[in-house]
Amino acid sequence: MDESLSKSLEYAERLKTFNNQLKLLKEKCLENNIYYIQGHQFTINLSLINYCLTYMNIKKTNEAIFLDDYEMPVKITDIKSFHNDITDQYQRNLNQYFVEYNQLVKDKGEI
Amino acid sequence: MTKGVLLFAHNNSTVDYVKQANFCAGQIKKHLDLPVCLITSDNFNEDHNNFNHVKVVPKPNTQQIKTYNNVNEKHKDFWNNTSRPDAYSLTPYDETIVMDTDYIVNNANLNKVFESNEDFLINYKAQHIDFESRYTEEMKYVSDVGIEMCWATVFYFKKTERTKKLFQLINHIKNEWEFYRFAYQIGNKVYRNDFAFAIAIHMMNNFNKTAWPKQLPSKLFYVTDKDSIDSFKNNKWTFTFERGTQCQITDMNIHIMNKIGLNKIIDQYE
Repeated sequence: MDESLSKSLEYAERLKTFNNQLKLLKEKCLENNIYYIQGHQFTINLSLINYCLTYMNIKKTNEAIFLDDYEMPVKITDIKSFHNDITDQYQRNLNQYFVEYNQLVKDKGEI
Repeated sequence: MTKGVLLFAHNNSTVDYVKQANFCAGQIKKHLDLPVCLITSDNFNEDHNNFNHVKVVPKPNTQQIKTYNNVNEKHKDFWNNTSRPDAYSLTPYDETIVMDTDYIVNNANLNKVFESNEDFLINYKAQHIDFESRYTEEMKYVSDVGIEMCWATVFYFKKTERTKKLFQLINHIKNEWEFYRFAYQIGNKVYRNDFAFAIAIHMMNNFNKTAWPKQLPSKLFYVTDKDSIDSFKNNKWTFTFERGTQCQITDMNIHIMNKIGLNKIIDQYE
């Protein structure tokens, strides 16, 4: 086989492995962002965090209705505490994602 | 409320399910810190010390044959998979996670089920970790014109009147499998728990798709028996897919369908 073709195929295989590993990291981060409160499931994302912040900005922190992952309404009575919990979990997961992503980039070598 | 994990293991001459269950239970203790109950019809030795409870049941006499692959290696053997509908009556716990012995826990995410209000949680989707396998697409429904698939590989239930009825119905479907597989246009004659659970859920919902039951907080990732298992070390699994690509996963739960390959890795691990 022509050397340049062989190198291209080797490059393609490494890229495929890298992309697969990256998808797995994303999935892991997504799964780790699942949070339960009052028996309801929430997947923490920026939209949820900002929704809490909106209430906190208008000083309405005692109670509000949120929609869980299945669009069921839930009354959250301590929005500040809820916001702290989800932000903390989200940040921890992003940190882990960041560390593992950097390791993956380092391991992939020159692509 | 008592909580725990229930495992079923019936050995055949190809796969030592009890050994696999012991390894699975070790991972459960490490990551979920839950007691484990083994339901088995086989000999149990003192090396298998990861179980809190063991219940011995008669060997199911199904005479069902399954092909066990380990990449290119093939073995045909009896497949004793008919005890699972008895999970409700056999579990010593109020809240139970049931899982296959080849479902390997590598994180604590499944503990979130105990924070849920739901009485039953299961996966509707399974995802091959190569993200391109055709199996993933083919397994969305029980047949070409059938209902949505669900995966009895791992599920959670708490003892309620509704879940009691669900398991009674699954047992009925198992006993009348010839009728139900025709009614739901399932070509395969072999009884599969995945199909029986999907049919029972459909019937419990008055033959509709509803929001019950909801999904587990952990996606069902899997590798098939055509994928090779290269190693397991420090919570990191390494696989080589059928098409040759290598893959590593760390801290993720995984269903390893290659049971022969898994047992070889367990031997090295022990």
